[in-house]
Amino acid sequence: MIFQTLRLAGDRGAAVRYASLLTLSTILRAGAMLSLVPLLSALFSATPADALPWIAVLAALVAAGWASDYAVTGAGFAIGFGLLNNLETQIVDRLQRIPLGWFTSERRTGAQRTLTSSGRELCQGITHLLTPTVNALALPALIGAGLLFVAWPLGLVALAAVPLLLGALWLSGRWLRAADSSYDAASGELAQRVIELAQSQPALRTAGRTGVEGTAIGRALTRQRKAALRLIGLGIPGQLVFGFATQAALLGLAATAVTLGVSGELNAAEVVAVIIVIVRFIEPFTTLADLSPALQNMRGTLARVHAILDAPALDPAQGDEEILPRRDAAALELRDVHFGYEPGHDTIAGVSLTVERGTTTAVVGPSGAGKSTLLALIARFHDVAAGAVHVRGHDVRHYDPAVLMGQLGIVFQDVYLFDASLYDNVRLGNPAATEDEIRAAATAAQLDEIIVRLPNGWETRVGERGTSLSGGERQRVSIARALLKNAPLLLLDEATAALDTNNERAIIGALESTGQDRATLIIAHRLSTIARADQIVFLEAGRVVESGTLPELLALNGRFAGYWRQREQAAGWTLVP
Amino acid sequence: MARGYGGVVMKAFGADEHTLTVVSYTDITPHFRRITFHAPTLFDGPPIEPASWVRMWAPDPERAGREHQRGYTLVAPDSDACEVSLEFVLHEPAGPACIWARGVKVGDTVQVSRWSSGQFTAPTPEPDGYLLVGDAAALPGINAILAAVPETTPVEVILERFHDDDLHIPLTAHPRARVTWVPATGDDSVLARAVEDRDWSDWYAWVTAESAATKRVRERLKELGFPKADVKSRAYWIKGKAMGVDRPTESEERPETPKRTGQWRSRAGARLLAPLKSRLILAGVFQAVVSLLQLAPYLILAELCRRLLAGGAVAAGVTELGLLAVVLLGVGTTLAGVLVAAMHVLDAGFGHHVRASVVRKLARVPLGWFTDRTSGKIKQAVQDDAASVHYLVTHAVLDIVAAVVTPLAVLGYLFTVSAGLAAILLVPLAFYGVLTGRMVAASSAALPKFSVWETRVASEAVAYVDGLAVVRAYDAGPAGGFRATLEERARFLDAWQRPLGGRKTVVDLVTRPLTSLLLIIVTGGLMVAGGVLSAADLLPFLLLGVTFGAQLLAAGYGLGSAREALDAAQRIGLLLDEPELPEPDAPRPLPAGEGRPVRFSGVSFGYTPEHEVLSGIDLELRPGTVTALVGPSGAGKSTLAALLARFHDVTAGRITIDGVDLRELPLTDLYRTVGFVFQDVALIRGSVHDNIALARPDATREEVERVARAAQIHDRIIRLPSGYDTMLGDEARLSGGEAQRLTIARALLADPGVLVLDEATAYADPESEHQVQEALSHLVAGRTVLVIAHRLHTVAGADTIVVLDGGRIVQQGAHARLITEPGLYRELWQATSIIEQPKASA
Repeated sequence: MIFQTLRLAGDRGAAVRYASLLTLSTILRAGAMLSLVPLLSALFSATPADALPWIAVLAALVAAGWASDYAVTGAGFAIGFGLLNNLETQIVDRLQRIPLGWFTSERRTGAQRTLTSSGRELCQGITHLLTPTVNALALPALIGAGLLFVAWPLGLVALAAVPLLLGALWLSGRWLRAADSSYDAASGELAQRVIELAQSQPALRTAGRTGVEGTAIGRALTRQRKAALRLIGLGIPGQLVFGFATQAALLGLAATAVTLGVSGELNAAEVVAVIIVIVRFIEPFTTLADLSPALQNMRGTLARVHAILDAPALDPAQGDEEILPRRDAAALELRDVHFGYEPGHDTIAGVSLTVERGTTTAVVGPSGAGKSTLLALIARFHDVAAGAVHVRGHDVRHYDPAVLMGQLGIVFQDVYLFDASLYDNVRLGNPAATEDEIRAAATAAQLDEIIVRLPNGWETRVGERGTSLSGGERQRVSIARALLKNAPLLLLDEATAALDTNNERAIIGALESTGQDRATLIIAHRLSTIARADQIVFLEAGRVVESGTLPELLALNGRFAGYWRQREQAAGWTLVP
Repeated sequence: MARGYGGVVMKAFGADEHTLTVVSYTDITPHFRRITFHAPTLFDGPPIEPASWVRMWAPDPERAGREHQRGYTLVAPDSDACEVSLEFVLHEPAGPACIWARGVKVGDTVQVSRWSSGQFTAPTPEPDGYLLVGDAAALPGINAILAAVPETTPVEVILERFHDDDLHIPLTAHPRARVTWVPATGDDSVLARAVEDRDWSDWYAWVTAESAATKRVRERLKELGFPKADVKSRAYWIKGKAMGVDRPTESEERPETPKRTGQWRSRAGARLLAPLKSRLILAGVFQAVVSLLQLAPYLILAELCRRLLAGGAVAAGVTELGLLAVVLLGVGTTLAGVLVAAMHVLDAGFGHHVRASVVRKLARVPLGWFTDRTSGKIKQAVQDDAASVHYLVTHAVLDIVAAVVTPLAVLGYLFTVSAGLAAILLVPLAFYGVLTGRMVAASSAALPKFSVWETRVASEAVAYVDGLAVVRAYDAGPAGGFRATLEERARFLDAWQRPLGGRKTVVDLVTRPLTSLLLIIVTGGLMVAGGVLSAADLLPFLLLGVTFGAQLLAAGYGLGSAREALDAAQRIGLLLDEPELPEPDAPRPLPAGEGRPVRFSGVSFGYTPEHEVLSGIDLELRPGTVTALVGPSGAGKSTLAALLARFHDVTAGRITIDGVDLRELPLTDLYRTVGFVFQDVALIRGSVHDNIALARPDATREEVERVARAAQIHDRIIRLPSGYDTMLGDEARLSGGEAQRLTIARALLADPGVLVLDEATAYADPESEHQVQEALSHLVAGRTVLVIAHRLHTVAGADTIVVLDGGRIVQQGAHARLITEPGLYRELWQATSIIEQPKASA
């Protein structure tokens, strides 16, 4: 863990300096402890004044220790701040290249937490955790080795106590953590139940199943109580094992010292001096025990950092010359594309389709058919498992990511807006655009009505994730953004939750502004948008079942025609008692 | 300049000093003078909060060169002009500050410090009202508070009038403030008597009057039940004295009032923990004994060493002492284990009780309560806060007691051995206090910046990761700035922490055991060498005194987590204090019968008294018919539907089912009679069968299948991995439309007489809309149905369409009639018909 942290910092010279200073500081401390033996022996003898030179030695060692510790902190800070700067850049770089499919909600939260605090935590960890930990680990062994010269049996017992105490510490930590995590698991499970209970109150009340007697939640509560009691079985030994080990070590060492005294190898004053050193010998272990929760946290932080740095990355294929889009090629071509989120389970199972320049293709199909996944593959948020996605004449994997993104305008189903002004969110599409261009894009995307309604118009902040706008409104902002970008290939995922008039107009605006050269691939739900496409692709279970123009597909009277009729019927439906 | 002991302490702890120059002064009344200063450096520090005050050094009028410190509230701080005012009451006998103010001239300077000066922070949870008590001297502070209190919160201001012209001192206007001036009579309980005898539950009191009067008010508030945490009091001046010593004033007549106790939300946490209190105290005492027991072996060790020194290695009783030490060690450790085990048992019971209370509470609050808050708050209470309380019970109390008792016992013992040497042990602690004080003072300006950075980076990180797809698609704009933000933050941390690093190291060096050891050995060694101390008396110091300082400091960490746990207990307590839906005193069951007519008579409702969402609603829902609610968003459609299920209680009028007022219906009857289907579908973790049979756990598989078929979901269910026994969430996820149909099946099985459909026909899943519609058609047959619809044509066939606008019914009738007459309905119909009539086969 220590080396892991230092490696992240990357600066070898600083690490060497830090390590040597730390070694010096630990040796000085051990020296100060050992100087107690002659010092105290003299002090407790008949002529206590003999101790004075040794007191001077102790003072000198402690003072030298101060000086070296001060330098250690300085070196630690140098590494820490180097790490802070370096690490965050590394993480951001990596995040840019990880396939989006890698991000589960848990990993997302982990990444956010890592970006927010891991640099700072590791930076502080070096000075506040690593230094005292290394000190505490090395000190007892050094003292033990020094005691060999005072009385070798004592030194041996001390050296033998080191692994015993470290082992006890490790065992105690392990048991306590096991107890904590089983407690957390039991409580977490219950908490989930309670939250679910809160969310399902109307249904549960209707069902008359809200009490704690004889209900699922009541049983979960009882289980949690039992789990809490069970953890005493782990927690108490965890709490006690280190205490007993320390006491055993202390007793063993003291008994050895006294025995040496009885046998005459040490005089009384020396025995007492040694006993006092023994008490100090135990101290670093207690320090380690106190530090261990913080060390555990730091380990967690490191694990989160590595989870990101070791995540798979989408890398452009190595090539000498830069790959540039070809004007004469089809805007988009999918060649027998396969892809699955889990191995052995294909979400996209052999899709081939072509979208020519200046045309619109609508992808239609039941939910779960793989429509949105198709879009993500084109934008290379994931890499295909087999087959290839070609945008303007080249495999997406051969492009430099920035060049590929330059070819695409994307309107997502779940639109993410940044907590900035409406204007800035639109301008994101093309930071170089003029004000007139921005306004034109906004008008085409039906934003004018929103701008008029908002208190500060264009300058209104849209809130975190854009929550001060409705889902449909957010999608319109995103359409304006994509229109402003004016990329050769427009990917549109029609929002199912926002099928109102203004949104329909915005989508139609986007399709019609396509111009001569722009190609559009739209995941369409509205009959009106489907009807506008030059080509309709009916997707089912990851496969293209039918494709063609609307009249062709209706004439075919197959899956699409059935779907179309059912949708027409649904649109005219009315709730009749 | 001589500033006495206080000045030395402040200086040692790194107090900042600012020089203020008098710009102008005005006498607001003959006894109330406002002096405006130019304060170029005052605004560099942390932002000035309401009712912030400064310590001003006023020259002693009698002894030149001496200064006295007085606190003054900052009035009208203007950071742009770097100007601020202080207000002085000119009274007799005058104190040094008052004398200075009386003789003030433009251009005079005075020094102030903001060091450790408080301010007014609105307490959480927000109190129901504020009681502000004081006199003219307190007005600058009270004015600042009045400006900070929300306009809807009532404020009682009680002020003692010493001069008639006190009434002319301007007071900050507040719409709900009631100001009472009581004339001073010389009796110091005038203010206390002016505090009304009433229920002050959840009020917050701020008392800044004359010293004796403040004391009386505090006593009065205690009688009225105010918890300490909700009374902030500080004596601003002392009657009859220019300054300094208090002259004891005896108040003869003490108003005898019956002790009244209200209930304060701020005590919610204390109430929650109350049943534990005695046992926690007992545990603390027990822990103290254990801690002392754990010290005993070291004392024995010291004794052992003493005998060794006295009698050589073969001293008498060494073996016995050794054995005693072993026994004590074992007993101490075992008792500690027993104690921890006992605390875990206690906590398991308490945790169970708390969680069960939360669950019971959730079942009793009005359903509307859930729509007001995210599940995050509930999660916090049952998961994070419960864990904090768990830590408090099982560890924090014991840790704190141990961390305090052990070093104090050691110190006490060492003082009996050698007071002089024991005193040396306090030196590092004093250094620690001063150094940390200075460090806090030096870095306090950066602390607010730090938290600003933390919040900013955290929110940008969330935006960056959540919006990663957009970031990649555009790689510019606000997200492109994230890298820059991180770099800037790193620079800030560097500039802030690096200089502090040296000081922190010094603090660490001073408090480490080795430093104490050196101190003991140097001092003790010299004492032994000089014959002042016997070598044997040095032993306990070497064995026990070395880690004493570090242990005491550890108590600080324990206190931090204990405070967190108390905050957590407070949040749980607040949740348990939420008002419950009143159960009827004399429940009236529904008459037996088939159809359930529903009638709204003169119903009004508002979430707050000022703002009515619905007013004067008269409506009848007949059995076997569909009534549709339409209208623009915000018209109150969902609220009206929610009232029918008692999500909230009406504020006026009544709602009856079959002639029985909803509030008189037993809740179980109500929920059995009124069913809902929402657009937001709540599936519970469990099998498909259990989800459908939620209301009737005893339903057979045949019954469940029958309703699933009717709800058009049977075919989908049998395709799931384990059919009806598939565990939802773990084994399979349903699409929005599928989940919707499942809840329709659930409602079919529950078979309620009255059914509310809220946006149930909205597109959750356009591709399966057709099946949802089929399922709904089955569901509504034969019931009393109230449906809310966005898409008008889905309810065009309803028996009655009720058009709501601004909380009132504006139109009512069948579609065919409403479409022919001018009005809101026709406008809405025309506006939406563009999308709803598909351009089929274009």
